[in-house]
Amino acid sequence: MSTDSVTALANGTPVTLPAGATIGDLAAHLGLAPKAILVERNGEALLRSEWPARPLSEGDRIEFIRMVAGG
Amino acid sequence: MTTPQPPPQPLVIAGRTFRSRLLTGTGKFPSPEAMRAALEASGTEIVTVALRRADLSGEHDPFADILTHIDPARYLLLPNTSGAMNAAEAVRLARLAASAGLPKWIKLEIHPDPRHLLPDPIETLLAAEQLVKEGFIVLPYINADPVLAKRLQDVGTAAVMPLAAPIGTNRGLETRGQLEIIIEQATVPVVIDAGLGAPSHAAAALEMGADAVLVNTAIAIASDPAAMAHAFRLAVDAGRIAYETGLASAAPVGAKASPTSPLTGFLRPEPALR
Repeated sequence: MSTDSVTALANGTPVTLPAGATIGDLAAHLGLAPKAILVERNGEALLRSEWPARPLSEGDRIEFIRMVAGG
Repeated sequence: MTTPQPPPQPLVIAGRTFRSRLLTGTGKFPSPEAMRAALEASGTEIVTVALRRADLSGEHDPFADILTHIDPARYLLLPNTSGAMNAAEAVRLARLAASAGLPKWIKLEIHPDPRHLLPDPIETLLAAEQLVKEGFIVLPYINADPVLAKRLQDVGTAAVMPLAAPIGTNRGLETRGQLEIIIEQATVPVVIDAGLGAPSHAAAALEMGADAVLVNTAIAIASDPAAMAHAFRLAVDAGRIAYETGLASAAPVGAKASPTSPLTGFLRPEPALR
């Protein structure tokens, strides 16, 4: 584990970003528009108002979820 | 003194008033445009949506962001917990849905068996209890089980949503006898969900006293979804007006017919004059 980077699991896939990166940075890295997604960090739902600025910790499991069509 | 309103009366769920008694799903439509036109034609005010892991492959999915096609200021979005196999997963999905900042309404559905999609009553009751405690407006999708419906309303769900027939089967009111008991016992609105394949099924559901119906497949897979949505809208209104007005009771099989026209005497001479 290096101190100048942080690795998190995004929907099950490891992604490494520079240390200090936020969940918002991770979403941007993956090309996800913040408005359209919901976020869970280590099984806990995060409010839309708070997740973009939340710093990533090493090994965080981040789930990006969409609201989609359904019955 | 207030003037009595003509039927149909509005639907009230958890203190919120709706003019439409037709809830619609958004799955299976051929295109977002067809969905939008159908929602418009249906007159619906409550629309279900689902949650799914975002696809990070970069492939374009026209339905990927439902909120670009449905205005949450116009429709009450009712996220479902479809995909949850147990209470814990359903609670997790509900919390995620709530993180969007929309009203905390949730269609609770837990169906572990992908073949019949029949809801798990035990996990549903456990999840309902938890979600009610967390301040959710809970609308649980259940089998047509009167005992379970009662248990759910007792823990504070805002409605119960018993199925007419398994999801997507279009077979109509197969559970009619059980639904009648649920309606008779209900202290919360009864929304008949799943299996309604024709406007006549929806009309029959409202005629028997269901407060509302939820329709998805029958509208979405029609050759013209907007036209079918309109047909369901008329059927729901017709069924509700008939229910509020009071249906005439049926005579037993074999009973004498009762004429609606005078059996006019002038076509044949009166027997006495022959």
